Amino acid sequence: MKKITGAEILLESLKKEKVEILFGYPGGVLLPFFDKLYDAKEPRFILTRHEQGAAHAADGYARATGKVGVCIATSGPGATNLITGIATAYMDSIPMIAITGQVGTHLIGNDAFQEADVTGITRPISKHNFLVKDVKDLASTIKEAFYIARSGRPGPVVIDLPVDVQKAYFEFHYPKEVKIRSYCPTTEGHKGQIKRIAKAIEKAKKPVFYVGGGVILSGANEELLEIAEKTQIPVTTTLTAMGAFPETNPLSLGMLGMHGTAYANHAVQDSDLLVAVGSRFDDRVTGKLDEFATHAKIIHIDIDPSSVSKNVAVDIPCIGDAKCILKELSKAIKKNPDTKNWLSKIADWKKKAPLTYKKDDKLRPQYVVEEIDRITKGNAIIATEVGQNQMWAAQYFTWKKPRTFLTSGGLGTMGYGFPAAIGAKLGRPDKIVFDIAGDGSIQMNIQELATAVSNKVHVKIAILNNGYLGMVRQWQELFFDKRYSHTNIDIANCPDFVKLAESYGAMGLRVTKKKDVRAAIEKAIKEPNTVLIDFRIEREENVMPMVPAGQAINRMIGGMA
Amino acid sequence: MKKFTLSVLVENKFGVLARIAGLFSARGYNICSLNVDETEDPSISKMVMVVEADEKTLEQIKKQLNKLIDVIRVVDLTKEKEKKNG
Repeated sequence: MKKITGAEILLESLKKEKVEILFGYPGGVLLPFFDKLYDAKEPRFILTRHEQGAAHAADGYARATGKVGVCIATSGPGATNLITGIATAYMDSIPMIAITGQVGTHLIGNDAFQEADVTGITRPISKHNFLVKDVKDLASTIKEAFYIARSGRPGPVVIDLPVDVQKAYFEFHYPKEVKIRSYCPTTEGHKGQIKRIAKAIEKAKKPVFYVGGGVILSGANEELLEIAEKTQIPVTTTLTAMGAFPETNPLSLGMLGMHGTAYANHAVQDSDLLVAVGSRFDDRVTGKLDEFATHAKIIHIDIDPSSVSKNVAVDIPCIGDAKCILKELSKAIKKNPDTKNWLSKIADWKKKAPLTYKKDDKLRPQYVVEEIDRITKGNAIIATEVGQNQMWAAQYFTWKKPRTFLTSGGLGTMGYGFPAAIGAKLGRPDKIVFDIAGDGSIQMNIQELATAVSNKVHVKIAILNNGYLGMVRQWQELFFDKRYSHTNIDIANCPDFVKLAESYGAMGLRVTKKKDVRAAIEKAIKEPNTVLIDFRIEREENVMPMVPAGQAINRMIGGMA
Repeated sequence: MKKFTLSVLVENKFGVLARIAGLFSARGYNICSLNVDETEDPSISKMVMVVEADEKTLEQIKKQLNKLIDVIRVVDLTKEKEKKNG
């Protein structure tokens, strides 16, 4: 059988895994691989301008398509530049492969040029990692890596590939099957547990579905809709699950937690049965733990046993895949709970404390978000940066479909949105893709304007520009006596974003008046180019309501008492 | 707080010890004692560790260990050890 190099084996293995796009940046120890890539017709290679951009792009691609995102960087600084992107994917359980070149095996541990202990550094922030020391292990390692990344609770897997392994020759056999004796994720839920959950639901008077990102990862949105409508149980979603349940449905409570709706938080605090599906009781959601859902029996359906009873004691756990379990659970419910009074109580709360902002003639960020939603008819894919921009996007878009909201929830990485939007647009070219950004966040990966323009990836960036690091400024206003310590990046000290966009060959637009918002968004969408819109919004607008850190979630600022 | 004894079967590969040690240090669990040895199957190693924790934390430790790709099985030896010693 013909022998090929490790570099070719890598390329052929990626093709076997049906990888369509590879995001990355070359370097010395990747020369063998890049030489093979030069003649390759697939996968398509997207050169970013920073390795962090490659990692976030692979992440955005994965979130938008459901496929495994793949990025590649060279050794040393190339690999360390991927760290934030890998950690971002890890915290949100995104299936991703990060390939890093490494110095030759005989040099590892020698403090060689551009050497870094990548397996050591990425160990705590990856689902698993591999250092391939022998070319004969390369193909099977790649197969295992992809399997680990996409199965069970998904996550990023790092493959560290020394340059001499890329140059070594071996026969290429891509394994047909993969079996890891120490890793067997559970898919089907225990029948007995499902029966117990069904009984608890039948008896409940004030049940709530608390839905997390796991429902989107599992592709369980249809099963969720079916069971919610059958049982008439209201549904609240976490930040990473926006779109898992259509917000146009009267059972939708919107987002819960620190910046969730008042009615979602009150529903949870008042409920007698909380059915958590694919969520992990994160501190942004629970607020003060010993005051969280104190009247409720807690059901937890999740694929990861370590998430169960980690923060909140669970009464009935059920380990497995959300899609599988929700399907069986729906069948097991013989009598629907009587939720009429509960739903009318919630409808009352919705009337008393809807999400709201001041509607005057000033240019406010919530209006910009609503207009983007309206003009794109809710069919766009929205990526966000982190902070106020992220919260306003979560609150003011009407989320209807899964895989349309790409946001760094767990790690909260500023600079995530723009490269993620690029990855998403490449994965779903038929969709309009917007990045909702802040003036601080957008500067973190602004160099990716070159990536977008040169690859004709027509992403639209909406900067909600208030001249501040908005979310931190809000906390300083509310809890630190308005002592704005190093959060003022005001217009005078900010770059001229329009000129900056144009310098990269993108289109730049500026909006300073509310009446010009609509036209700018329409122009941006029409333009066959990457477009950046600098919206000069009200400087000290706050995200409301807000649960202060460490408070119970029904004690909101800006919500009902 | 109590001392618990866990026997963990792992893949005999480089990095596995670092992974387990990293898991413990990252979450603030303390390892009181640790013994690692190859088993009759050279591809499998056995780690016997004594950890100091409360019941709730021990449950999390066992779950987090099981989550690791290279961990084959986790067995709580505490009761057996107590029987032997008590």
